[in-house]
Amino acid sequence: MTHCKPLLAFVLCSALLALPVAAAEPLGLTWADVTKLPDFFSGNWQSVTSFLDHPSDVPFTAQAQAHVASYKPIEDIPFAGPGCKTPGMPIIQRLGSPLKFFYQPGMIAIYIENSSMTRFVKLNAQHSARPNPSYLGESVGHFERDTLVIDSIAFADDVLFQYGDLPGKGTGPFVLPPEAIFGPHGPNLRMVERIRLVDADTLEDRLTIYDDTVWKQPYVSSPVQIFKRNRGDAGWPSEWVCNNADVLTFDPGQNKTIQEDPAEVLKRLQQKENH
Amino acid sequence: MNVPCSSRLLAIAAALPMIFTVLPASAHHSAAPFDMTKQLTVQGTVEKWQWANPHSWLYVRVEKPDGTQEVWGFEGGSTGMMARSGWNSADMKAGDKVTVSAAPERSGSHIGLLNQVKLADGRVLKSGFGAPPPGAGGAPPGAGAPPPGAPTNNPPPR
Repeated sequence: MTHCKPLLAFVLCSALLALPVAAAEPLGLTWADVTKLPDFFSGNWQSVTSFLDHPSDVPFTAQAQAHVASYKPIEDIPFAGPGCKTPGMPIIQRLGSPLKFFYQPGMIAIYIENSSMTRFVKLNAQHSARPNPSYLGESVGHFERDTLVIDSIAFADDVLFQYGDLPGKGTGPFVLPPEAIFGPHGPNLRMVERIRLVDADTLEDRLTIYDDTVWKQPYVSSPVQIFKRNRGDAGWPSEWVCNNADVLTFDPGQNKTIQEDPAEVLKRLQQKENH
Repeated sequence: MNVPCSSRLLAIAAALPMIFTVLPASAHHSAAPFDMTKQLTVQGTVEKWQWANPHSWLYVRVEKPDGTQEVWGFEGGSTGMMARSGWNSADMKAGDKVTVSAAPERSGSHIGLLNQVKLADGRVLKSGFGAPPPGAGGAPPGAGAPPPGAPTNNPPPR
């Protein structure tokens, strides 16, 4: 029995050391927890990276490969038509207008100024049994030390979904819609984000996409999305209501940009004002 | 390109060497219709300053040398992004005299992507499409950044 003492002591010590960790509640359950979280909340965060992905070598499934082989480039962004329809996740977060984080116990909300949409991330929770599809998806999250991990599922069929880039395209700092390949996603599309502060005013969002109808392996999004913090007045969120009176719009049906003579648009606006 | 050629037109389609900067992207149609390597400057009278999303628009009446007039439309950024660049919905009203610098639309229509506006009182509003945040590698808000995507002539959506 004597020779078992060191082993017993090791086991007991290990158990004691593990106790505080096992007993600790996950972050995000109380109001006080906000003081322990990384400061995602002051000011707002503006994307400074390409909103479309750089080329990837993640292999396509046969189904996706067939789509890519017959794909015709688009001239502009499909959601640029009347009504400013959102592209959904993940692109909606990357469109330049800032993100604003909010906290309450059990939830982090992310206001996306572009389109005035808000993501609601349920903390330390499970996905619903039967989530309904939406453009931002259903999101649950938890903290792993300083990193907020968000797992999102249940996306609408018509979110703008990028497969990759056309051969030889998308190598510039900003990838343009005509350089990219878009297509339908599968029913089990899942996005996992790992969000953390790189420094006090820089936030990164590393995204991995799981869709076995499109890729044979998980797709690691590139570039890592970088956001810079606006403080003061610039860090205050604004509303964003779509106005349809643009001189320039893109018609996805015709795959072309539609121009109107500014004089005609002005006349219409002034007539509207006078009525 | 059908650009008015008069003393009111201060500079036409001058190629600009653009330095790299990280610029905010924003929604909706991209800047592809604009030639970001060029800049035009026109003087005229404000017809309407439309503070709106996804883009603000400035309509300016320009008088040509032959006495005829034409209306130009200049596209700016979203209201939130312009406010962050120091612009305001009350900056301009119909009748104000302005000098506008913009990237011209490629086909030669009377459309431009707003870069800056010099007001009659001498004040200059810059970064008309929205400035990047501090530390983003570009000019600070209000300091006048080049148009989006300038280094590659492949601007991001705005």
